[in-house]
Amino acid sequence: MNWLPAIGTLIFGLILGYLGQRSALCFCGGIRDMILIKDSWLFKGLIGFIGGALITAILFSLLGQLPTFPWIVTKGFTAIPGDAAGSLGLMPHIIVTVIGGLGVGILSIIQGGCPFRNFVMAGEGNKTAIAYVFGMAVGAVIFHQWVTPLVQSILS
Amino acid sequence: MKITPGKVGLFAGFSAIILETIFKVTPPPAYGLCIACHTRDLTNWIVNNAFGTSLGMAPVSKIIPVLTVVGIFIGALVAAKANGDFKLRTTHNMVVGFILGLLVINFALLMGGCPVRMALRTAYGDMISLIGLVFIAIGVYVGTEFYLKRA
Repeated sequence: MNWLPAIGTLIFGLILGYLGQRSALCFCGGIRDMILIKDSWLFKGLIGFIGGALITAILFSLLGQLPTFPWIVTKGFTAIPGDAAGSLGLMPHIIVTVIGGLGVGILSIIQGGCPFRNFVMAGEGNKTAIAYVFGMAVGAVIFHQWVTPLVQSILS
Repeated sequence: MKITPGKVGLFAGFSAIILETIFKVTPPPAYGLCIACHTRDLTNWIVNNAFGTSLGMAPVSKIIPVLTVVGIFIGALVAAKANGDFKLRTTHNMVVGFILGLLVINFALLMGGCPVRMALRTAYGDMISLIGLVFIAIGVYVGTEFYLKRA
């Protein structure tokens, strides 16, 4: 049974990668187009994602398959317990969310897309996006090795 | 049928919940689809197994890591090859791209997910991630004002 998440994410990843390449889906790009040229073409991807997830979550919670839905606020939603935001109170959690959101927004515009878009562009043969992907891999190790303890010591 | 971002977004939102319920990509909750977290899980799993370290990762990836990012990369590669979009190129300096990737995943993990997972958490009713999405939008606005319009 331990194989199930890995197989499922691999299959859906393949489909999403294919569809993502055909549609150029990008959440940060959608917000950018909306602000810059008032074009909602890509922004519909973000709206569609939230809508699709909401409808499916309500459906599965009605079937009793999704006990975490609906409307649980904060704590349980961090990626792992004891992650940078996970072991903090409500106010520090909001502070790191604000800092993280601003950072992701600004840096994604400089790079030209959100992480999802960059993985797709890496598949299209964009060498800058491939370098970005390797940067993400190194950054993940740095985050858990040094950034998490630092943030927790500052905010707690 | 034309593949539009709206339709793909709808399918991605649908599949994120399917992954969580049927393929059991949980705990933590709202973990079906996340680029930053799943990259982190895969990288840290490899590093932990290669060097015997104990870097943090989601409980679901402890034994076998989730492979979303591998799937997305191969899927995009197949789509680009099949439709004649594949071309080796650079959009800007690769060192800058590397550093941006390094910084973006740190900011993303600080807030607990990439834009995709923030949207997924918002659909779950987490108000904190709605704040995150709003500040991503503000960050995008600041980025376009100071970077694109000046350049």
